[in-house]
Amino acid sequence: MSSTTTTPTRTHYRAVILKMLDALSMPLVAILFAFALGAVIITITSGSLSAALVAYVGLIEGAFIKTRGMSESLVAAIPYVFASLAVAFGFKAGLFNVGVEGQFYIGAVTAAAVGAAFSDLPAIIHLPLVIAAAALGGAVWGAIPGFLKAKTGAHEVINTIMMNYVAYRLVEYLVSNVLRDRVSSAVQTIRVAPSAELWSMASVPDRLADPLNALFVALLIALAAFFFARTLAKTARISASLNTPRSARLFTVGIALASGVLSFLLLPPLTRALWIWTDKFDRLHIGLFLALAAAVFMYWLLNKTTIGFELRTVGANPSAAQYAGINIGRSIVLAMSVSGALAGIAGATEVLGVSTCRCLPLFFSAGYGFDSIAIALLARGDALGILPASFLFGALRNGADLMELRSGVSKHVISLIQALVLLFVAAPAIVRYLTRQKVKPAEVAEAPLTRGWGR
Amino acid sequence: MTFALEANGITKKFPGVLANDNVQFDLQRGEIHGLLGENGAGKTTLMNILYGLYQPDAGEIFLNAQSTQITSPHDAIAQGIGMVHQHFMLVPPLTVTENIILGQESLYSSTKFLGRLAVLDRKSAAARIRELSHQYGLDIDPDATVKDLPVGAQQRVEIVKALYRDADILILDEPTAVLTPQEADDLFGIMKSMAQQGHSLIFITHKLREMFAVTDRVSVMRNGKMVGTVAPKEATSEMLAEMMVGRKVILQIDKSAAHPGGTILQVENLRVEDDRRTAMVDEVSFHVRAGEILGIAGVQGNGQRELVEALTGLRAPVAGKVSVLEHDVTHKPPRAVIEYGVAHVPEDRHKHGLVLTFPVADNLVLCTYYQSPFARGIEIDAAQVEREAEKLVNEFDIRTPSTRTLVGSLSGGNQQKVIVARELDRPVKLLIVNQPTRGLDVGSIEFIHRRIVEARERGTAVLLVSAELDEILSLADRIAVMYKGRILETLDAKAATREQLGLLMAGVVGGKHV
Amino acid sequence: MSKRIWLIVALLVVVALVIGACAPAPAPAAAKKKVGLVTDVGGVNDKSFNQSAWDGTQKAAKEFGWDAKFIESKQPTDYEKNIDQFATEKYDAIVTVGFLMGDATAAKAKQYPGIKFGIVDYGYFPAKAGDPDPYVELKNVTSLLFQEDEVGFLAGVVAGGLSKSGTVCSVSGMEIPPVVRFVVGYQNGAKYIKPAVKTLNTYIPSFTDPAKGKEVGQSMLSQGCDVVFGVGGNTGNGGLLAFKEKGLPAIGVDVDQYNTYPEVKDALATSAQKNVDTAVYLFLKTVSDGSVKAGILTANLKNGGIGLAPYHDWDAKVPADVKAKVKEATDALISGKLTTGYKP
Repeated sequence: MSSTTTTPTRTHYRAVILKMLDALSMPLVAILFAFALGAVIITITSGSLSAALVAYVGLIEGAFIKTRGMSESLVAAIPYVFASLAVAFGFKAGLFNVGVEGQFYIGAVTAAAVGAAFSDLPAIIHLPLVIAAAALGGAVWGAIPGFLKAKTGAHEVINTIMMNYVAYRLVEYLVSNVLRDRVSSAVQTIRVAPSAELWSMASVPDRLADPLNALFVALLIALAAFFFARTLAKTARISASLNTPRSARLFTVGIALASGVLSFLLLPPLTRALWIWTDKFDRLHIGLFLALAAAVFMYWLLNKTTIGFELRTVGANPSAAQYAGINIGRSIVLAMSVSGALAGIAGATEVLGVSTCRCLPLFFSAGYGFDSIAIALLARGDALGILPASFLFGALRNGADLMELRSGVSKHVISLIQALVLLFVAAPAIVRYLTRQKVKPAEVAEAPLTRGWGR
Repeated sequence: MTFALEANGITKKFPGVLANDNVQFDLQRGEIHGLLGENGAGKTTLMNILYGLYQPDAGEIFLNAQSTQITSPHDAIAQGIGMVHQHFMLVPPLTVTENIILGQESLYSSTKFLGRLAVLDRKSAAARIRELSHQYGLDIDPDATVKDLPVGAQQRVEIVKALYRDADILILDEPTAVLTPQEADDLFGIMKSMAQQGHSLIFITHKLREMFAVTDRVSVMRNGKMVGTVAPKEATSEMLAEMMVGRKVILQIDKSAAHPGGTILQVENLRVEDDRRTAMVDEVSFHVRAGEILGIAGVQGNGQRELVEALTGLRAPVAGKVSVLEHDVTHKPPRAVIEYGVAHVPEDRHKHGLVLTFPVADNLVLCTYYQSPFARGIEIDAAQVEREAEKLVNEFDIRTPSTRTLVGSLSGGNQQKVIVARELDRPVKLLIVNQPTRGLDVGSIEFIHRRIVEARERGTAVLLVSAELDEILSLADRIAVMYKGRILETLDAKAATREQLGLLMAGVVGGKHV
Repeated sequence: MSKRIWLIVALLVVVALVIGACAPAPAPAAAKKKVGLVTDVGGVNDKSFNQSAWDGTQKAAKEFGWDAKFIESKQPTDYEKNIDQFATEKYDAIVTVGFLMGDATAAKAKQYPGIKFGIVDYGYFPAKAGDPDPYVELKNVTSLLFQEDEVGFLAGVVAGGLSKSGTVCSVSGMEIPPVVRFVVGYQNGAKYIKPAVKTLNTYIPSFTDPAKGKEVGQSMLSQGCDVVFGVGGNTGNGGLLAFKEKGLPAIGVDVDQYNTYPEVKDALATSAQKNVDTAVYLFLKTVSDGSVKAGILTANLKNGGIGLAPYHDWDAKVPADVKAKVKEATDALISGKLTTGYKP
């Protein structure tokens, strides 16, 4: 949803908060119903209510409480964020990108190749290069079905599915032949250079000991501060005190510079002295920040730019888009490219940050691309809503193991619960019925998430 | 005399709206009872209650003087109430017979074991349809496929469907909104014949002329209340309009004589084909000058849509040339055409004109979002968009809770005002309006007509395409009549008469059919 | 959204909290020991190493009165997480399956020095002679390795016994030590029963190329070979298929391929099997009696960690004298009177 803010007042904030709660209430209800129904199913299949209790306690403990529980939930959430942003981006433009899994693979193999190709680059160059290459790989893989749709009208659902299979086989070939690590007995690519790794959270203080790395981080923080200050300067209360465009510019640049310099000087000693991400977070990596940034970026792109306006118009009503002079074909290719790029980055984070060998082994992904469709639906395609939704799915995926260990309830029950969540989200009518809500006429015309079908 | 139907004190609340407030309504046997009201006046709610879609919060319904409850549309049909919806409930690939017997099988199978087989006997169903068609002059071929039928015929299929189910009372919800004047006249004939044979009809519309043409009595609703019931003989258009809107309405637009300037739009030998490669516009040439309104009259489906699409860049012409102010725009994309100063109020506001799931503000900048001051670089300046939206909402009297309200939740009239506001706000050289007031209420029609005339007076060239002869006659300075893709004749509006135009629209030139 | 929905949300939250609070705390670990198995992406029902390892784990758990659980890995990036799952639940022993999990097992073993790890079919050696050993600190990992040359030798005895043309062959995967051990043992086994036998072998640098395996198998057919031994995952399977199509006998590897590769079961005389279940059981037994040692636990004919699979459909077709020769070779190898001829 776009939101152009007028003068913010107390009532305005109240309205915004109410709106957010309103948007959250349906998914929350759906989740609770799903868990309740899941408990019923566990009770029926195992014959005792306590099994469901033990299972859920195990699930929650495994997902959040136990050592590395929270860390692992976040680790699983990172690729989910990127992949489901990819799906949601397609939704916004009226496209159903089922090819996220394939684009994920292409991104992963590109990252593995570029990561291993250079050994003596500093991280400040190598890491952005690898991420960009993975994004480009995914973008090309997404753009092909996009182009086919724009030029010939071929349906993207069919073509992205077919591109998935091409991707699997292509990556299999590349991993077991061209990029293969001949030394290892396992079939996997060569380990990427340390400069291309996504730093593990625990290793950040060590990494920052290198001034070049500290500079890298400081630049990124300055960049983030710049955009933050720029947004801030536009909000009414602050812009009132910055009465000229020049002073606004000074404000923005000043904040960016200050935060950059400060973090360059202070971050290395500070992280050394107090760093919460200890070795209990040894698998969590800085891709987490990248994921947060990606969600914010997508929110901005979709809701605050002309590009987003065009994509959303094409998604919501292609005829009106054509009428308004929007180039539909270009929008479709662009949307599929951005979607593919996000999926490609998802693959890269797994190779560069999680994979034990920091390489791409055979049989890599386990359906991140498909789970992400569910997440995007749960978040109703909203860029910021995807963050909590991904975390939920990451936590479920992670907590499932301890649940199974503790209670003997198969972790496939988690898939069932995920499916139920989706069912309740995708069919608000059921939830309304269960909660005896009257259908308001205006709500019936909800924005279609997947116009892609049947056109 | 007993009433076929009587509704007493019907009240229906929706969250925040009192849709029907103690409404009194009655329907005599063999009567055509008109129901008039602006959008949102509560007509549709009342009919939905009578058809069993809603349950009233208070009030009572009598059928043939018996108190009754109508629990569902199924129940309504069982009690002899049929409804012809504005949007047809037909399955296009099936035949007329199949459409009509669809859903009927349950009536039989619940009583007789072999009922399902009996339903599949299309022959006797077709015979019955033929008989009904003949009895009421409906002219329906039971074996035709619905998707091949013109709109008017599809509507008659809906009527037969109701009659086939033994409807005594028939509700027609804005049946003329989709019809050409001729088809509307045919429909009125059918309605009268049905009334003569003892059926009672409720006829919903907001076109005043039709009320006088066909009804026995007219009830007017406003803001959920029943304002009153009058006989058309004793009423005037002005009176009905005032009852409907609640204030005096100027039905005839005052406009000064045209002072045409230089040629803005020049169309030469234009030829346009539709998606099936049939020529829809054939060797059409005309021009529109600054400060005049050229009306294109004609029965819908004679190439007007394709003509407008070709002029605005939405459809590539096969041959010919279109120029706007000396610029050749024949094969230019829509954005280029817009940037030459062409504004376009499209025929189908839901399909082309609006993004229903977007807020009012975003719809108001749908064509200009990328220009200064709304965009800087690729970033949209939300504050500027908001400022523009608020300005237009005030200027064009768009009734909306806020500029962030989704346009889809506005009434049709306000939706159309959003489009008109957006298109007229730009520095426009040529305004192309296609069916600008279709389906709108009297108040909105008046408003939009005034805006079109104002645009002309500012020196804009206006091309007005409309199937409503009244609209063309009251607005246009010159009138071109389109028939089967060609312009048969262009007349001076002052000299043209209804009859003359009606004949041209039917393809009759100089006493001979072309 | 109406108040009612919020009421329901609130109620459900309260119920969830109450349930959470009342739920029985996990039973305090009564001195019962716990063993966990982490499978690779194949899953526990793969009819292969994972399944066999689970069988062995269950057998040991039953015998020693332990709790046994497994976690199936969905993808390679899950290995560490899954091992950690058992470790944080304070399991006493963790078994991991397959060389894919070598790095993950080593990393976790360093983190949890108090837990005994057993890894199936993976040895921690320097990559090349002279390299520093990165795993020198692994004091709590036992590699369960197999003496492939012994069972390869027995497979060779069967092959030599079945061959009429006097030529036996093997279609092999990459030339890595376990594969070489199989092949050398096989060739010497064939010579043991038929000293004049001719042996053919080709190493294909892949374990996942059945097409190439089949091609090599066909070329060996044309050179007169009439019994094949497929040593190399899917690549070897291609060789088996080539012989099956000609109706000639074939010998499988690693597991009883009669079950795992039913397409060739008509042709399958036997398989040179690694008894992962026995190896895992032996490892857990040492954990149980406290004799567990870091380093290598060798599974061989003597301790039953390897052996030929049943003859199945070929039971009647393998002549009694060949079977007797197999028995004789087995006894001789166990007693040390005979060696397979493999030299590292």
